[in-house]
Amino acid sequence: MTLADAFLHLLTPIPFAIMVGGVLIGIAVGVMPGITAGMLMALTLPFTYGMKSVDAIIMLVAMFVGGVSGGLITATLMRIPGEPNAIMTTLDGYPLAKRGFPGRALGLGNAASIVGGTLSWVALVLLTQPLAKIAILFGPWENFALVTTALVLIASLSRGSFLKGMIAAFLGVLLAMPGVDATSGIVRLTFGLDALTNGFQLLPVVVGLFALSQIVADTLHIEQGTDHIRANMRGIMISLRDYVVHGWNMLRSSIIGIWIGILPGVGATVASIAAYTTAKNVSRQPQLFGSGSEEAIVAAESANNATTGGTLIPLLALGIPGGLADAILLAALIIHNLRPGPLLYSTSPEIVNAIMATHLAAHILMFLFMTVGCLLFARLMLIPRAFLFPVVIVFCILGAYAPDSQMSDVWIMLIFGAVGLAMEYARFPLAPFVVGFVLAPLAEGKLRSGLMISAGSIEPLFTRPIPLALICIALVSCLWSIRSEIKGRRT
Amino acid sequence: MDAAEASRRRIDALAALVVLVVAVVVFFAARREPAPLYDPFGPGTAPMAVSAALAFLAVILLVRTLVGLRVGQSAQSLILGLGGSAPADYRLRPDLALITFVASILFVAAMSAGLPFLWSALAFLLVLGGALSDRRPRSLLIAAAVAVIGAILIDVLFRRVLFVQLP
Repeated sequence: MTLADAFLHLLTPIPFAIMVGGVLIGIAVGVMPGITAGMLMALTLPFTYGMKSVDAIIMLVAMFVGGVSGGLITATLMRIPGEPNAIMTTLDGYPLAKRGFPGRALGLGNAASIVGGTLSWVALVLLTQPLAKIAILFGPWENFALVTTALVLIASLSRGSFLKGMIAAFLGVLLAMPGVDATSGIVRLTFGLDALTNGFQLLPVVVGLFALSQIVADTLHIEQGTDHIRANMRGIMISLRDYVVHGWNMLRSSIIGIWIGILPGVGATVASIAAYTTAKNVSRQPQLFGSGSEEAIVAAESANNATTGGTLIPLLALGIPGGLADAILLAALIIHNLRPGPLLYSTSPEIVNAIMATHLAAHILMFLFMTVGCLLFARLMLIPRAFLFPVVIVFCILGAYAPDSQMSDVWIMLIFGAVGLAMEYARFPLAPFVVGFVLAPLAEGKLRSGLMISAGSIEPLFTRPIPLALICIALVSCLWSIRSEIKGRRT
Repeated sequence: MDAAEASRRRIDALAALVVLVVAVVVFFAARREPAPLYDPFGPGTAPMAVSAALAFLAVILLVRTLVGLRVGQSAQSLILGLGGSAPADYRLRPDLALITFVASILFVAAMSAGLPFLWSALAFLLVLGGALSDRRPRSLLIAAAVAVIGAILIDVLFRRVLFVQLP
């Protein structure tokens, strides 16, 4: 299936309905404070078991795009980021809406989102295949070095504490190890518990970490008021002139978003902060930032949507997730017996092309739905969370239970819910943990294949150019992070 | 050192200790794994190496915390709304967060003990919906309605549509 075929496939009734449903649910969830796109994707995974792989991927990508975009509405009308990445939009979207221009604020954000999303799609299409062609030549040592470097980069780029990032990454790797050892077939580290014979399954871990823990954290804020600005449609369709006026800002912010999206573990929130800061630094009216600046809304929204394509590049080309949503997409691929990474191009081109086609088509649908239906979506903000949260928890529990009908998976989900809460409370970054958990089997498998080939010697790691280069990158990243932390403490 | 900083240090030290204990337990469990047969690595080597590295990092964290050096905090959160400073315009409700988590555990325990999904879900939705609401009669009535309709709909969805064998 070529990319053109994938677009045609999306126009057939069932995939189209799945994509429309995915975008609508994604936007709805993005609008509702407290429920994130990652959480929606984690909760949707169990429902994809009975679906065709292509349809499952279409739905998840559509939800991803819708979820990233929906946060704009809540950020603008309620000053609450419906999604974490909409945090910068709250700073200027809400003030502009409060001045009597809610439609204008939403329109600018929506236009910036489609431009950012489309440019990131171009990058996705242009960069993925060449990168995959290089990656396909990698042997076990190259792959092991790549995964290790990705983990170090995730830990060092997560911002805050490199030490805690590394601990989180190693903890994720360690917790992926119980169960049947893929190379020897020996069951290891079960501590006598039958439930651990198959290890910690990806789904209960992901649902516990991102869905249950988020709901529990949200109940802390259950008394948060829901003052909101009544939306109107006036100004929601921005003119061609606006695109020209904000064109350079959109392009610059999109490039920032794409680039940050490609970097593992950094994510849309950092992208929108970086684009916002850059826009402020180069603006002729920086004093307006924070009080309803149009430039600020455009920068933040272009960048966070541009990360959607950027994060998919390492996932498709290398099999390495750039962030949470990609980790869940990676989980979906694994659950559907697909092999993520450069070989996906040759083994399942229909999946790669479906992801790319859905990415663009979902952005177009998102733009239409947000333009036409933002008033309707805005009403979802008013659903009382007290009645919503218990229902979502029931879905978390059933989401963990349904795939294998095992109550032990539900207990594992609860345990990982507590682990997620504890880690975030102690300010350990969760992204390195999840990526470590997802990539550990791959890293160990490649290392052991390499060792078998080299009769137990790790020499190829230092004599082959690509592993050596990757290890140098990892080392430089480590040293740079340590230096930044020491420097940060001194100042 | 202010109270918040002292509290942060205690949390970091506790976290380092927990990680250290996990690493040590896994290391010794991995040492008992059988010797490798075909590959030079064996099933226990990777867990031992990773737990040793984890223990090393945990010790660094512990020492830095005890000596009084700053260790930094994750600046990026994937679980929104946890930690940070208390908001000015409303109260934080850790009690409700605890109730939510405990209620979830009890819900799962009830199903594990053999209580049918429908009844345990009904009780869970009723209790938690009521606890999270503002407890006015109207809200409690809505919580009850959501519980009844929600439990029945979810039961039908999973049993009849998705063909999942619920407890």
